[in-house]
Amino acid sequence: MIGHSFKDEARAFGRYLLGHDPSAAAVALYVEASHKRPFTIHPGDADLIRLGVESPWMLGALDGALAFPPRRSALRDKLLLMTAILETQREHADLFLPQARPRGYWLVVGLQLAGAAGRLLYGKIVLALL
Amino acid sequence: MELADAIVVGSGCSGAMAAQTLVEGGARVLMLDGGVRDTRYADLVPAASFADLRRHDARQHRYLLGDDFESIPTGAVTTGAQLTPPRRFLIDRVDEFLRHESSTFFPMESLAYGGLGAGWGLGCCVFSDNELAAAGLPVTEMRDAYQTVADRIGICGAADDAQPYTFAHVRGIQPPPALHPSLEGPHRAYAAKKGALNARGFHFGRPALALLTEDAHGRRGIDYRDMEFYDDKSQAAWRAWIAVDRLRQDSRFAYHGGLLVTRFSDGPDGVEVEALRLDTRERVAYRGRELVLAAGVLGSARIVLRSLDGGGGRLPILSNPYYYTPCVVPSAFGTALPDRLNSMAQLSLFHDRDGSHRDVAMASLYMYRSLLLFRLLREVPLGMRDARALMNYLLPGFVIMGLHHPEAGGGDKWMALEADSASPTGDRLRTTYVLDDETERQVRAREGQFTWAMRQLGAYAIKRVSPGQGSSVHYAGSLPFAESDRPWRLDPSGRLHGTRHVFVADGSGFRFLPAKGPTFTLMAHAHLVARRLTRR
Repeated sequence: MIGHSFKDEARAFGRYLLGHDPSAAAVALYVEASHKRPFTIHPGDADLIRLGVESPWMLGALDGALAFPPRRSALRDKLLLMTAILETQREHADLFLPQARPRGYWLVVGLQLAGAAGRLLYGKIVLALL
Repeated sequence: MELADAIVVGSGCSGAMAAQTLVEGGARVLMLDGGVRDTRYADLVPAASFADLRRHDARQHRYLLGDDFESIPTGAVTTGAQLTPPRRFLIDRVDEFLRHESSTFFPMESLAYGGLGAGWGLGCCVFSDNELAAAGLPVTEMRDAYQTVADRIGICGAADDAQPYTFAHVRGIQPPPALHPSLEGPHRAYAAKKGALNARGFHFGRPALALLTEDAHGRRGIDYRDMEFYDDKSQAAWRAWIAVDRLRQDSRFAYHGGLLVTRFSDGPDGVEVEALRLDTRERVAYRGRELVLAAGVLGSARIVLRSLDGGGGRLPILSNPYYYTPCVVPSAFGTALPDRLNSMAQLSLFHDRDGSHRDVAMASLYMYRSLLLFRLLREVPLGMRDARALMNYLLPGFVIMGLHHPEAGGGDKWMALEADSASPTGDRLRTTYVLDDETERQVRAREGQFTWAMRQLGAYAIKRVSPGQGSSVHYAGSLPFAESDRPWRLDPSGRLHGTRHVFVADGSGFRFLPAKGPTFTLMAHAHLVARRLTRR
């Protein structure tokens, strides 16, 4: 038993992926998709999902830790679903369409990678403690 | 319609081409077909470019993800994973009517109007003389047949190093579409390293595609909307249904859809065909003077197995081993992309091991944009948010290399019908497809050579993805051509041995399946089978 609604998940995941609250339309689509294509919740998944929804600031670390090395997880499946939904919302199109090289391109890419590595390490520690 | 001169089963590329040749030869043709269409998404997709609809269409999630979110992957990559929601009608009702069982082979079959051709990648490579001979096809006649098909469908390509492997001797070729800006680097790198690559058997260039780049054949040239995986609005891409639509204007042609042909009975004066209505499951019968099976290799095998020998036969099968590899092209990171692009294969890399045009493997390079970013994010070893932010800038540098290997048999590969009381036809096809160790070793070794060649072009393989055997959607060899009258064989005209009026116009007779993509050859062969019939 996870103890929260699909709506709670959508809001938490949307906030993590976008940095702000997702639109009501995106939340509604997530709820609809979760009913139509339910994910298999493996042992341990429920705790991770609950932790991510109750402490959305930890989602980046958990997500990164589950991605490297790749580990099958309902949390990642749910985050992928929310990502796909956000990608098909017109207001977010430019977040997903290829962008031209900005000023300081490699610096931007390097900082992003460094941040991702930090979140991954933090996530590994959290996963080890759970 | 009176007794048809020929009944053609299937409206895919082979069926459409055979029917067109028969009708043009004066025959009265009846086409029997599954006829499944997309009634859900076709009207939703706007006539805008991919980038434009992404920024403006509030309903885009419906055709990009699907009303049932069927486009979102939930497990391992399998056959058909690349089908977008508006293309998924290709496989509608297949699980119900074309039941299949296997733990080693995962084919794609279709009951769609236009068959699997509705999702065809448009590649139009001719088989070399050596490949044709190995497949059991007549070299001189096939050369003429390729030209006839090219004149009907319209092909684009480039006179470059790949030409001997793509359109070769075929004339009337339109110029290729604009090359994706991200692949200009590898294209230039080939010019600089051509000597070393050629010395190891590699040849690189633009693919030949059944895609108009200029208005012709009553169709418009490519519109660069980058929506080829979703719709056929401009009809620049040739699809079998376009040919069937045109045939339906001809009084000598009749089309009956909503049917699954199950068996035939060959008699002295003609043939009787039994079919099942998809909606009511009622059995119906048709009579014709000749029968042309173009139901796809697995579909035709089912019909032949049921009709002869009480369904107890076991048939061989060929299928190109297929793998794909996401690659990074660092020179393309951060490339500004124009809105006007196209989704089809951009470049082709051929490996002709000994220069004989007999043992050729082929890789096609595709760009990723119109398949949406989320599918790629799933494979990136970073959290979704970090991956999204990075890929926003790096995506133009990601290329998909789809690699096909030739297939000459060997190993444990066969199919047979077995009883299935839950099936509307009372049976299902069981298939086994296992490569022998030596073939597996050769395939792996060759992939290593492709990885080397791609590095020379400035593209670096990240991982190897195997969607499973059968995922090439290239099948052949179930009723191999044979001169002598032997059971389960076709004679060189395509006639099924042991019958008088039953011809097979798909790839069932090919004894060898080159890696180049068989569709152009299937159409040329279907034209030949039909032309011989019109002369009977």
